[in-house]
Amino acid sequence: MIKTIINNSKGMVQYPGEGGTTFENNLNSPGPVTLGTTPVLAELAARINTGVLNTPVIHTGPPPAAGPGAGTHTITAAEIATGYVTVTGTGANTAVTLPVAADFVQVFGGTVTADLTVGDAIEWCLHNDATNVEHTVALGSSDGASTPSGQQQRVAANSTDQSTSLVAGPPVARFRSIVQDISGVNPVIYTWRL
Amino acid sequence: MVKTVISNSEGIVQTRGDGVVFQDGITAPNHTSLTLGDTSQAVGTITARIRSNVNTGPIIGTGITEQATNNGATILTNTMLSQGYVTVTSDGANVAVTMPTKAHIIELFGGADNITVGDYIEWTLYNDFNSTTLTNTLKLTANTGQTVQLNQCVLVRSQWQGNQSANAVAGNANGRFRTQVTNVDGSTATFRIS
Repeated sequence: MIKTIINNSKGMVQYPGEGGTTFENNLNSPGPVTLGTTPVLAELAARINTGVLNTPVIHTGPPPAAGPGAGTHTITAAEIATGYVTVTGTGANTAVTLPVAADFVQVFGGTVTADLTVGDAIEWCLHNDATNVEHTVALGSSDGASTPSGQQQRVAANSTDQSTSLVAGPPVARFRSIVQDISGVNPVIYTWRL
Repeated sequence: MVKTVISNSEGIVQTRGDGVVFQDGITAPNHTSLTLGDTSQAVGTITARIRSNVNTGPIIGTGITEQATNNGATILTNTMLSQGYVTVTSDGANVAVTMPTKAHIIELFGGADNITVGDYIEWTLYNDFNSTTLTNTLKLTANTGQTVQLNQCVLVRSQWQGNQSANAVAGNANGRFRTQVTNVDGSTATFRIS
């Protein structure tokens, strides 16, 4: 068996041994990293091992997007790309609209044919910063981007007492936006509540 | 185009094709990082991508099993947060669960040589109180250099299985948070994400 070690001092070196490939320094990948091979349904093939005492993985990313101000709002590419969008409801189910198709395309890389793949997905949070318990928000669809319905699309206010709220859950909702179809002019993006 | 395949059986082999294939996994020592995409990416476009194939959305992680429960007011430590799941049993209204000190945050993120502004982890706070007193809640509380949000964003209700419709705290008995480094001196900002 052959063990391959890649580091900053010796480059790529092969030894007798097992255990896969070891990167002794950082691994940088401008392109996608693919984990697992094409699997059978119901069997997960992608795995990240982080060690026994390393359950959370340290990520690096931008800080949450600055709030756009109170009231109705259409989420922008810049906001959703941070992974954390803050809005402020001003009444019952204040409309917050998903990004338009062009903005979703930008988020996923820039062009439909070159950068979008069916199944690509991002996960992001929507935080309602309103302090009035009645000032909830409702996530609405845009061109090609669908949303869930009912409680699934609503986010409660960040009030001190939620006992009278008509919207369940905390003032933050987590969503997954997934590329469903890229055959048309605009991609079809489905958004699910997590 | 050149495709590089690295395996335990044949070592490094270059053939026609695209990309690099690690047939037997990748390992890396402590504190090394996997960098995906362009770290100076344009606003509004996500350049980091992990593909795990269409039918393998979830990625298998490796971590530790459930840890000891903390009773009453608790000051979080780097040990607790490194496990990713903190259990506290509330013994009153809005019992303080205080963020770690700066020194603990520095340790959590790999020490002074590794902590980087923008690094973050995601973790869960679980309120294990299981009785009828709906007011036995938890409140994530700031520490020196550690900022948290307000109101519902920092409150976690109990896991009591009975009627919680009159509870002033929304959601379930788990709050999930993102703690992001804002200064290498160990300062962070923490956001509720679900």
